Amino acid sequence: MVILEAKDLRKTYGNGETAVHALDGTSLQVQKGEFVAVVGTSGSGKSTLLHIIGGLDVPDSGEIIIDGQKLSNMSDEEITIFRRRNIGFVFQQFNLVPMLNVYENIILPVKLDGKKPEKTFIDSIIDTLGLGKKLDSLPCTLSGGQQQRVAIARALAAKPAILLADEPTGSLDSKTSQDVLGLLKITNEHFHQTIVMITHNEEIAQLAGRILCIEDGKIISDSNNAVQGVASW
Amino acid sequence: MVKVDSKKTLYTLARRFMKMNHNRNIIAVISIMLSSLLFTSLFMGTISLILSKRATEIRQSMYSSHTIIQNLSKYEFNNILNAAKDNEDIKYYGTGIFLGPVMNKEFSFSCELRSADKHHAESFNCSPVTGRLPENKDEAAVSSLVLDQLGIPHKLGSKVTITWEKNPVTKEYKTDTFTICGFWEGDKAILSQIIWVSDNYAQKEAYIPSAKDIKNKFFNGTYEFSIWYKNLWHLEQKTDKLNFGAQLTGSNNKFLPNPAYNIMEEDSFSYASVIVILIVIIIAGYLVIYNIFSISVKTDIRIYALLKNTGTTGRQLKKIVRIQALSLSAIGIPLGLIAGYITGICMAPSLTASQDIGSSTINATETVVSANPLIFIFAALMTLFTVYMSCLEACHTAGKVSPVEALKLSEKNGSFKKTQRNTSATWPAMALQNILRSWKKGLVVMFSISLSLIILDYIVILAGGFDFKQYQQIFLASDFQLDQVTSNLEHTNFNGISQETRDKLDKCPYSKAIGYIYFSGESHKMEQQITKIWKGFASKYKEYWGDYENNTYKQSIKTGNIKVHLIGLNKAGFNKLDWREKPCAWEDFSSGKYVITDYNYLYTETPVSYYKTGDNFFMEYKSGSKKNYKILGEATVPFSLDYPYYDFMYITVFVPESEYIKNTLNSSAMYAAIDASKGMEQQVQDYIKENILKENNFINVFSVLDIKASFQKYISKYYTIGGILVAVLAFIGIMNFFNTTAASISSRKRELALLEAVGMPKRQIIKMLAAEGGIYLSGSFVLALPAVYFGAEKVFSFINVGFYFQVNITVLPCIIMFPFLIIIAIIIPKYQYNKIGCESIVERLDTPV
Repeated sequence: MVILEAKDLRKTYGNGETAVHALDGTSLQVQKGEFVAVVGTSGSGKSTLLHIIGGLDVPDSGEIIIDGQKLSNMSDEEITIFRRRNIGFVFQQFNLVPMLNVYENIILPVKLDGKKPEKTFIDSIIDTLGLGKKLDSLPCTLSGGQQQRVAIARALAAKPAILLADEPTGSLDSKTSQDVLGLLKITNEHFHQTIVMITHNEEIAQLAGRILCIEDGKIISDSNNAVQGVASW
Repeated sequence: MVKVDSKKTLYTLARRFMKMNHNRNIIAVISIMLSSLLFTSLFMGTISLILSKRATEIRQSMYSSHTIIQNLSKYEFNNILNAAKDNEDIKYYGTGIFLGPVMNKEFSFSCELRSADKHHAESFNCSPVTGRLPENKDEAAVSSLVLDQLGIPHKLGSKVTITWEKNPVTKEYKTDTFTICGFWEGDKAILSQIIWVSDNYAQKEAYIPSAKDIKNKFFNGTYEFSIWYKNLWHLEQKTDKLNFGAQLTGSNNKFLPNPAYNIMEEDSFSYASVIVILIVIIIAGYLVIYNIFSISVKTDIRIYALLKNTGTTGRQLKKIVRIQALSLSAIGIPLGLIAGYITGICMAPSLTASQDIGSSTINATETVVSANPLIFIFAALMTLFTVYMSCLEACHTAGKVSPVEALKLSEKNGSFKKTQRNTSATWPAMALQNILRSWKKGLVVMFSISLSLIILDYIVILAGGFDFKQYQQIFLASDFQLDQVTSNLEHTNFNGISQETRDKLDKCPYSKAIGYIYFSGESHKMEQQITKIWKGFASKYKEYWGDYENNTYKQSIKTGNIKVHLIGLNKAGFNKLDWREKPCAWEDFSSGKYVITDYNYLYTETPVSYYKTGDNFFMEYKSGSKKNYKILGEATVPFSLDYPYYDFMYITVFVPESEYIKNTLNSSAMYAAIDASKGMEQQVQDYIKENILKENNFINVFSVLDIKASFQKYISKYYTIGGILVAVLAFIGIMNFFNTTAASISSRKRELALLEAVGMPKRQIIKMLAAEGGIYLSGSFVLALPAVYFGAEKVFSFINVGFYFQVNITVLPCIIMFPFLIIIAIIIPKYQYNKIGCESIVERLDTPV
């Protein structure tokens, strides 16, 4: 089942001679439960692709369909609500809300939707990510790896259709990076969570079941990864 | 629209934001409190002003019902009674009968015999405080002043003998003895004292007036009706409806709404001032609260962006800001209401001080402090409105934040602020650059501080603009003035200063000169030129004349006689005259061969003389005495020593004291005008109290000391309002500056550390910051100057301060304040920078933007 479909996405920053074509007719399809890595060098357009898929940015042209819903037909307000219900984000800088504790951060998207968090599901995420002892802590008291775990937990809390991870290990040391990637993998398997992860590191990409290479705003290769596993570097 | 119930989460987030912004909360609560304080005291002041004026009017006009009708025949009364019973607007009514004036010789004031039910007595503000209204024929309830004048103790059951005029046509008097069944504290400020008798007595003894009697203004035995409506809305319409129902529409005598309840008749000063102050408060409150929230949201923008990233909608983010504003208002507004209430109570007496002088014996000005709950509700709503308006921009900023912004902001490699175009690396140039990149914020600070500078300057202009001499001259032509003039012509005593009083006054060792001014209403056969002058006036101005003017003119032309205000003067009185040309000599005037006349200056651009010096003037006095005089000159008497009522078509003729007494056979003067020896004002006042008022406390004493006090009280109204405004605005302005500087420095913490790291000395950085502050504050100064210079005249003419006020524009207060502004511009940035300077450069460089 196709959970994400991007059709001929184009995005240009600036104009005239200084115009930068961040996305230049990019199209892709992601099946439910897939773990896709998008690999590219700096400036290749991978972050722009992720932002547009996540509704954080709008394409100049092209279309995004997630779980059967077209993002281009939605207003700013509707996109925000769609995002909190259907898309989970994990960023390089964790982006946790500093004045909320770990538990509050995790359940925030659910609460913002006016829903009651599903206790057993949230507990299983917390258990899986090993955050049980840190629930009352504020983000600033946690290590980078712990913060990223919270970010993953938050991204999963609303049972999103798709989880988008933007260089999730970019700010972490190698040991912690391994842990985090392992958790993403477990998430994918344990919760059948569709994940699209962006990285510039090809070794990290090896963790995913499918690897897309992007360059100058175009997908230049799309391959299934036969040897999935946690890279060691 | 997608609606979800996320209230609890939003409240949690708002609470956490507030926890993070402790200092902002304190400043915001103080600002909201100040706005609320200003609104509360303004509304309290305004309502107290209106109610005080109403209380004063009710006291002076002698009735408190919403509408009243007097001088009714029994037939008219019955019609009204029937109409009133069916009128749904009426809450209750009272009725009574006017029996006649009381003629007891002991009374030095006017007194009336009436009957009334409970409500009618209440309307006259003469309900017995001790005892009750009379029920039996031989009972009476009286004012305490009546008892005092008759020398009867304030005790129920005492006997009082009253003589009253029963038949006004035949002048039949009736004398009866009554038992006192009730009394109340008499009020000297009112026109007439009242004695209530029972309805039984009234029905039996009252004269039955014919229609002709009533037409001839003989009102003895007429009925009266007081009405209270259910509310004060549409008094005019309700009264018209009532008149229609009672068949009074065509009549001259009909119900009229009590002017005391017509708040729209307040003088323009009150309303204009209230509007100006209201606008100033809203602007001042807006400026500071706007700045606080705007800076706070911009400081926390990354978190708002993060929240948006996590799925918080723009609408929810706006709500988070609004919840914070409302929570802070929930603390600030009640505190402001309490502080405003206290301020209102302190301000009320000086606010209600009117420009009417208060004599030492009678002062009818009432001060009513209102604490109507509506005042607080309205003040709270106005504060909430100001807070709501102030945080609109902050809500907009938070709601519109782009979720991508959070990602950019967290990457430390750039700021959301515009990149600085560095044209020069000197500290003044950098200061200017910094100002330019947040010029909107700077403008708000400048406006906020300039507002307090402008108000301060206006207060100083006000203080310098009041002229006591000019004020005094209108009310008093001398240091002290004695009379028995009342506000009602019918009850005034034109002969209040008797020979005995004059003898006592003449013995006062502290006075420099005592002028006596006598008055007698006489008439004079018009010479041809007088008739011609008045016919000329009539042809030009007749269309503007009312019934009184037209009737007076017709009567004078018909009879050929013009009214004469005959004024007798002693030497000191003569010295008070305002001469049209060269002053005349007392020696000539006192010879008895001459008179001085006034001239007409009311109708023409250039005054018109009735007579020329040397003209003959033949005077035929009411007493029968006749004499031929020569005109010595033309003069007018100062306003306060003139005939005290409005009159039309008359000549004022001045004669010496001896001539006046000889020809009018009346030796009592209307006024005594006493000038105290230098520095002896208090002694003169004490002498008058001791020697005159102890024996006759119905003499009005107008004293320069009282006028000075009343003048001070009157202008203190402006000082009070202005002082509070300046203090609050200055506080708000400086707080605004403090807040802006703090936010600007803390948001540039990294940038400033970077400058230090690359070698800019701390001293230069402080100079740069002080220069930024200096530019803001100088900007306020520059904005204030034209507003004062070009606006003062318009503002003061709009709020119509008073005739004794002249605008002398000065920008000196702004100039004097300038060095203080510069000091503030240096101290605050220095303090703020030193505060962040506690951290090392490395720590500051690590600060997330």
